[in-house]
Amino acid sequence: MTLFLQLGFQGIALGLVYGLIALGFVIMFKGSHTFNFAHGQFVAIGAYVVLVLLPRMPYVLAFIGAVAITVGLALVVERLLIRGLIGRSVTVVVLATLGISTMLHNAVLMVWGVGSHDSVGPVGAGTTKVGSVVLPNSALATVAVSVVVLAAVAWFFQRTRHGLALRATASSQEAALAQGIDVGRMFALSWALAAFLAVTASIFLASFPRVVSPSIGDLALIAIPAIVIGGMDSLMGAVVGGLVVGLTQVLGSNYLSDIGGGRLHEVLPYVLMLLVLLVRPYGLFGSRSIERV
Amino acid sequence: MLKKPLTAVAVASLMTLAACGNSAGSGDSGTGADGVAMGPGVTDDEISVTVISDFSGPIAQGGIAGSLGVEAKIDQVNREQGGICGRKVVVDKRDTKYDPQITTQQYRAAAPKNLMVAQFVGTAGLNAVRANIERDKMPTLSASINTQTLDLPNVYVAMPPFEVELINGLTWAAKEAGASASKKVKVGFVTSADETGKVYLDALNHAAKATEGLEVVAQPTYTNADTDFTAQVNSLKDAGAEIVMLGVTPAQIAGIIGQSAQFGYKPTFVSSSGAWASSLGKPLKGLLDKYYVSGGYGTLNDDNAGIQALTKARKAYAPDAKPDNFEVGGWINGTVVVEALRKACEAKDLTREGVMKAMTGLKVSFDDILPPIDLGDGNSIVSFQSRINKIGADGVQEPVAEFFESEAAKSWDAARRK
Amino acid sequence: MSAALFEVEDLTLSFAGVRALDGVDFTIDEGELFAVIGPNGAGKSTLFNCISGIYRPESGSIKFGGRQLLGSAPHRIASAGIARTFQNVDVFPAMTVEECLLLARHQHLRSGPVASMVRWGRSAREERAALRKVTEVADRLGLGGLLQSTVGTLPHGIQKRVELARSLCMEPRLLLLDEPVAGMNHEETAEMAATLSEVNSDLGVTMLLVEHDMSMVMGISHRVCVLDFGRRIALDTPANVVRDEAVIDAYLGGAL
Repeated sequence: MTLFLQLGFQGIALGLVYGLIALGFVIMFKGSHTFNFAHGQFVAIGAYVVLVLLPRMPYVLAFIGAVAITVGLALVVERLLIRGLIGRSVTVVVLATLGISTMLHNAVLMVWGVGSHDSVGPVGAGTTKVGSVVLPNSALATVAVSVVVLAAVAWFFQRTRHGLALRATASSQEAALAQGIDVGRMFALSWALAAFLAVTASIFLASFPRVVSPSIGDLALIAIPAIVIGGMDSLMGAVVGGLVVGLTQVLGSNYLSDIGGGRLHEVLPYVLMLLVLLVRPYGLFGSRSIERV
Repeated sequence: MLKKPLTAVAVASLMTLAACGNSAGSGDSGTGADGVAMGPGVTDDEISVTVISDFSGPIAQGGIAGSLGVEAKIDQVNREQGGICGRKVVVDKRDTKYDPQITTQQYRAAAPKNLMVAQFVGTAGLNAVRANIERDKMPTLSASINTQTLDLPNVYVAMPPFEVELINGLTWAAKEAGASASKKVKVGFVTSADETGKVYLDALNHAAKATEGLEVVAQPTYTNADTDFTAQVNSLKDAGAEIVMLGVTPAQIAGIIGQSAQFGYKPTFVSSSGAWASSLGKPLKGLLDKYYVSGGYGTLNDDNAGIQALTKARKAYAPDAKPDNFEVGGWINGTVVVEALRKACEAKDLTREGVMKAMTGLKVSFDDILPPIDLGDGNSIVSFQSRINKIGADGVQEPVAEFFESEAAKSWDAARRK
Repeated sequence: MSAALFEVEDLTLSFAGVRALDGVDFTIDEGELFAVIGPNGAGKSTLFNCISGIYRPESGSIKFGGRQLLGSAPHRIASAGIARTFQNVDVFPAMTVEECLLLARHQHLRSGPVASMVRWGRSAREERAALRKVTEVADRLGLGGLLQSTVGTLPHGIQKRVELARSLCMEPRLLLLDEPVAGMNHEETAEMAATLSEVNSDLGVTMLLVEHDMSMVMGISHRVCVLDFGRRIALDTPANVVRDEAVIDAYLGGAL
């Protein structure tokens, strides 16, 4: 039982990080109808910027600095490279984001090299014991911050006018325009929000004992099965999908280790993704009208 | 989304088809002005050799450092001795991104232009082109130092393979722990859930059986997608393993050692040399006092003629490069390449056959970086020696004992060859 | 005499060589309920889309309060004080009625995305004022009890009403109505006509109504502009328009 709780907690912590990343994907998809494959690189860049800033300033400032820089980068990419493609076929936009992803990845390699670096989590290697369950402080911080951030995002969408305007833009650009909403600014806002979530996820993806390395960008792509499972256009689905993937990976690495030569838990998120595609192509929480990508 | 991988496969197969058309054999390019028979990549002024490695993928840190070792050695020979056989030696670097498909493309592109593969990184990639290497009669030095690559035709491993490092590491740790008939010591093995992992596991299990007083209590596996090692660590901890052998890569080390510490689990960890990267010293600071690396070759911290030469050559060739121990492995391969080319030159035969003939029974001394080796028939383990290192400041390895070889490693090799 | 609130001059636009609008002009005075009618393909929708900034006409001008509107982005036209409804109801089905109406206050609010997260100071005052306005408009249109309902679950007639309420929440100086009773039954049509008339007289909102339903238009409009094949063929009071020979010929036929 202790082990189950232990694994479950780690799975939830990891799943929430995936959820933050998946949420970014979904917000961009809803806000600007772009499936942004370069999102993983925003996560990586966020982690590297925190790494660079940390020795020079307090943690909170380093985090804010990384958010500012990554959001700025996302806005530049959206405005210069994506905005002009709006209205073009989905394939064109997806290919463009793949190209941007490769570009950013190589930029990261050029600036920071191929090696791994230190961890950049907000807390160190310490742990907290609850009964017989050992909770790493890094995982506790992950859960606490993710829950707060997710609640803030929910509040933003449900209760603020900019959140409403973003939902309106996602629902119907024409009707949103008629309300005086600058749809272009909403595209930008959705990318900015996604980039903020990417940086938040990055500090936990590189929390002790995980480290900052170029592979973080690829690691973030596990959010793709998460959003397909949850539904491409569902904010709730992104978080649930992330949790499903995180729990599958961590619980599976223990309870499924005797099956498939110990590799089943590695492919299980993708198997679940295919199953969902077959049974509910719009995902567990998605809306039926979702276009095929 | 599903389209993408399919397209990639389609494109790759097209490329494969295209490449088949111009795949060069080992055809000689004639005889040089000096009467030396010249193979692919050899002219009157140049000898081109290729390094096929991961330069931008998941193990690029080791791949780049390893290549740097080869390049520094060859640069040294070019500068100090004007090359080999009156020819400048050129290194043709090919990035595989640690992907077998890209590896295949890169090998096919490099093969017609190069005399030999001075260094090949990636067991899966090497397996993907094994048939080409055999057909091209391509002398190939593997930096994926395990018996899977050693067993491939025309592929040489110039250092003790990782299996030997692991076996020696286990016998050393058993002795340190005082394992004996009367004192049982529990051990656990962590390996990847694939073919390579299985080979390591076989070697470790052989060593455990061959060593008195060891009891294998847990053998968790991991996949490359794992970033959380709660399951693996807990299975080792619950089984009470006192020694944990790590047949892993640098990508898993921080997670396993870090999470073990978090769970209050502090066994003796021993890994092969391929598992440690010096950059891990920072995140794992303070947690490495019971972690040891069993290495088949020396470290950059050693004070001997070989390492001094390497350091000097690297500083001349790439003054800004960060020191990383994988470059020692590259230096060893580079040294073998240089010796083989010299011997082939003496025989006036710089063809692939000539190089391979030169490699047979080639004895190479590395000025104490590791004990001298004999390449023998090219299919035997060249050395059973390894040395135990701990991790010092800046994550650099420091030896805690001299080179030694274990009976278990030899008996494992004998059993394996049967 | 003060200048008209809204002036359309010589508006011309062709699609693939076909003139959808051919030198159309008219003016609307402050407080007027002005209707544009015409048979299918007369150019009503094209005119509507030109005014709301979706289409760019080849020539002509559209002035609002003396300011040129041509070339402005749709959201700028909306911000300038021109609200619109859509022919095929374009509400936000996943929102509640309240959210949908609050949204229309967007352009009147100033607080930024981060400030609006924290309900304090100006942001809080703004939000309270917006909510008051929304409740007031909802009550007037008989939606007071439905504020927490999800728009998508309401019947078509009510959704049209929500859309009207949404445009009124913008406090527009000109309201563009694209077939506000399309798809409504007789009873709903009568109710909507009454509401429009009431909004026009009580709130003084100037309206440009594009409609197909003759009886409804004739009942409530002050003046009617009739289009046929992109050209204006009549512009007069309803009483005079129904007697106009050209209109009877071109559009009404023998129906009246």
